[in-house]
Amino acid sequence: MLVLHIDERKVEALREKYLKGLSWAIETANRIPELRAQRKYPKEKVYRELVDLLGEDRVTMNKAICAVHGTNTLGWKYHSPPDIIAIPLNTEEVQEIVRIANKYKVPITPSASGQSFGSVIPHLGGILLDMQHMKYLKIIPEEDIAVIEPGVSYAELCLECHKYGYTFPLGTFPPFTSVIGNIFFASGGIHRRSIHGGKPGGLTEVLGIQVVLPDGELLVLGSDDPPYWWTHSYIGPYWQGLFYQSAGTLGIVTKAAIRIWKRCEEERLLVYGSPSFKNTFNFCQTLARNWLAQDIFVLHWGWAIYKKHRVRYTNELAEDAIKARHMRDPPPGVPYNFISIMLEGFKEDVDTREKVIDRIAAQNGIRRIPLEELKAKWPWLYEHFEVWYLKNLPVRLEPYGGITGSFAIMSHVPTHKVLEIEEYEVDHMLQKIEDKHPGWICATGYLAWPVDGGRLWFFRTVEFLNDFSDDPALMTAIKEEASTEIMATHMPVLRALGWMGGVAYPGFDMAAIAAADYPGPYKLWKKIKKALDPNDVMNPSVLMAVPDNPEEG
Amino acid sequence: MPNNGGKYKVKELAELMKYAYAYTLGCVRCRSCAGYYVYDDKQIQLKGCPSYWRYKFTAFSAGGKIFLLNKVHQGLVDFDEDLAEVFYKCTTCGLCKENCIGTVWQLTESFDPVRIFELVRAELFARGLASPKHKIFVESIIQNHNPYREKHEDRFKWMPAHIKIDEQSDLVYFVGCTSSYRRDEIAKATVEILHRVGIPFKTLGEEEWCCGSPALRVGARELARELAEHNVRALEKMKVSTVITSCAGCYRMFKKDYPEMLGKLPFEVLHTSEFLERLLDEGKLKLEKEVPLVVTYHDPCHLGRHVGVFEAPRKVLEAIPGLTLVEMPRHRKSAWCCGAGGGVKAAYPDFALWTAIERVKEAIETGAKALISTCPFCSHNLKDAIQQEAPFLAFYDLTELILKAMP
Repeated sequence: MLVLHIDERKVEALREKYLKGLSWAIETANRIPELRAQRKYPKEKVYRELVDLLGEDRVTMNKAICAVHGTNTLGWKYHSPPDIIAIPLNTEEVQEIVRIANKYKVPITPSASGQSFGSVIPHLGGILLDMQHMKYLKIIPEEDIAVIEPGVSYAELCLECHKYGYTFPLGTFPPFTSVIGNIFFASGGIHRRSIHGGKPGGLTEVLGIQVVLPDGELLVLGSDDPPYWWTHSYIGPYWQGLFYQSAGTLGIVTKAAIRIWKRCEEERLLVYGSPSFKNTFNFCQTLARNWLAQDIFVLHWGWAIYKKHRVRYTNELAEDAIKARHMRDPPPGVPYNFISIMLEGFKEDVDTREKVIDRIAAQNGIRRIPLEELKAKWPWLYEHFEVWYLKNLPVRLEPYGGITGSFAIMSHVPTHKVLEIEEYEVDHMLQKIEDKHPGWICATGYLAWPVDGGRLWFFRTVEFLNDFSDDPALMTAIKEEASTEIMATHMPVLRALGWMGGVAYPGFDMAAIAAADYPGPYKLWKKIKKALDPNDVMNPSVLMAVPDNPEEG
Repeated sequence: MPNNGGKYKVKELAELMKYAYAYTLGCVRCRSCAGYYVYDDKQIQLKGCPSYWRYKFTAFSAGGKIFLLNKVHQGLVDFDEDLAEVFYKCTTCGLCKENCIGTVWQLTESFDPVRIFELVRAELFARGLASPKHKIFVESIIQNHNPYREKHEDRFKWMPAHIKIDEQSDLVYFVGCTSSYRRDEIAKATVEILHRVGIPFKTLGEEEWCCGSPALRVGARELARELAEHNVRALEKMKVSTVITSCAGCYRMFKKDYPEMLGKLPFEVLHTSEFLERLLDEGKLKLEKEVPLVVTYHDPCHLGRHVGVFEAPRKVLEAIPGLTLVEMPRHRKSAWCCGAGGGVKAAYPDFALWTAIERVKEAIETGAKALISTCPFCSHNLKDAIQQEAPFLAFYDLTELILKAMP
């Protein structure tokens, strides 16, 4: 056990800030009907103009169809559907729709794959711009790029890349989710080349974009001339950053040129089992600092074993996992951490590095797990690795078995704080939540990997709630309780310990907290938004509809 | 939060939602239900849900519908015409269940999307929200015992004069409405095979009523049950040991829905493809004539995915001398629907035709010269698509092809 250096005053300040932000968020969210009513516009007229533009097949005011987009998958309880859904098939149609929205000052919420995280809930009604059928996809092998539209999914991109001998870093996203949606949301997950890049979906993967601005004009950053898509030859600041993580508030990305990678002669997967995170950390840092692998990926056993696997794999191991005493103590025969390592290169190079890595593993008390053993003992884990690494395809989710809520916190962690943060997460956060909700948690644990040659680590910690009640109120209450516990109790401690994450995006549920966390960037964002979008049509519920929090000063 | 739990008219839906509500939250709307993704075979991606790909909005995917059901249960969405449009513009083909990767279909058999959608339709039907076209054919079933508004006394008008009915036989051929009134070539081929092989059989005659499939699919559950009771009673009275049917829809009713409604049936039920397979195995059916044809086989949803009969028709086809069977990329459990089922052909003929054209295009791409199936309703719709899209492609029911190969 480490001695955790927790600055209690800092924790208390962060907790207080969160709780104030939360009450402000609830107060604001309760005003949704009132705020919606303020955004009056001639619905029928707007609908008619959209039908004239797109045809009746691609515009609807059907209340049931719209209702699907009224709540996100994370269970945000305020049901707030769009008034109209419009399905464009190309950039020109997006421009025209945005012009119509501007003409009537209608809120417009872009959505790429329909999965609906918080940023695409049209809290103020208006038009939901459903871009899932914008499917332009072109691989340009001579430039190592793919040009894609928002409707292109991971599955489509991967399969197309394979035709040219290329690959694209995959996240933990289901095959049919949007690549652009995830890139610009900055989602985290496994990365085929994590050791070099960081988290997938980072802006570094994007080489050029086309954006429809709030007035309907098209902005091209990079070139729309395919051979030169990669160039950043425009003047001024790095404008692409404006549209990254801005949740469609400043513009709608309709096309992006993204970096793809040529596959190597040899691709080899090595899997290791570690008895403790300290061993894991020392081992992985050595590999990362010496650039010995393309990808290093660490799994806490609680995630790897996944209690949910009792659904699909009824075996003793899963039963043991359910009965395990503590998140620190894996069931017998299960390593504390699973470590997967991907090697790519020429065969001779990969052979040499494999030997070196085996030696470093032995020096750190870490055991190599042959793939046959992995397949026999932990088939679901093998299947994931096989699909991700060897077949280089997005992984399908496992049967969830009634999982109705999940919490994921993810962020970069400074290397010198990694051990402390891991300890707090496992011993204080995950274990306490397990203790508090016995039978409700079906998977707990973290994914982690060193980034940028071991300069930082990326941690993604997840809880899956597994509930079987037919009482929506009870389930909502439990989810909210668990969520609040993480945000109010554990996040302040983690951040005091050096966890670098905060609120990723604002929105009705988070705006006040985001404003309190990052007052400078938040105010700048609002100023830019006002300048670019005077009619406040672009996804207004994310940023502008939320009145300024008194906490902002 | 409002809860619609106590407000359902259909008892089974209320029962299901008692525990299913939690499951409906398990859907992460990844849309895998609407797509079809092959890892191990050819690594290709093909359309997987006719409704979603035709109508484009997320609501039409199974995930969308499940999410809507969740909202209905919370009282946030009403049972109304808008909801009816989403739930009726679905062929209930069940491919969504096969494609679903993230949610809970695998957990329990009773949480089956087709079953859920049909229960929602039952609720809509009970509230008078079915399409007018559905109401018309349900009315016709009540009046004429068939959905086609044809006279009941004409049901066996197609029967060739030389075919002898043996009232002493314990084998009954249940013909079904579509073979009787719209695709009688299938009925004729079936009885001709029985005749030539020398297998005595009888029919239910005027006691054969609609099997109830069209009623059940659009939500008229009570009527479907009445029809089931009538048909089973009539068969029991005849003391039959085996019932064969050449209709995938009738087969699903007898094999899956009747036992659910009435308990275990006192007779064996076989689809003609299974019966033919048995005759081949027993050496009673001789296929000696060459049929030099490249064919591809369309799995009817009601026979394949819903009940699990995939191999019998293929085995029979492969037994035909000179015939080459090539598979479409979407086959067996992953087969693309013909587009006719779930009341779609009646209420949304353009959607039915669009779906069938997709299938016909896929068949053509295999290089096959003929498309084969084992369901008169699939035949009905696929032939419409062939006529419009590819008149050069032949279509045969399995029974028709068997006749060609018989001495």
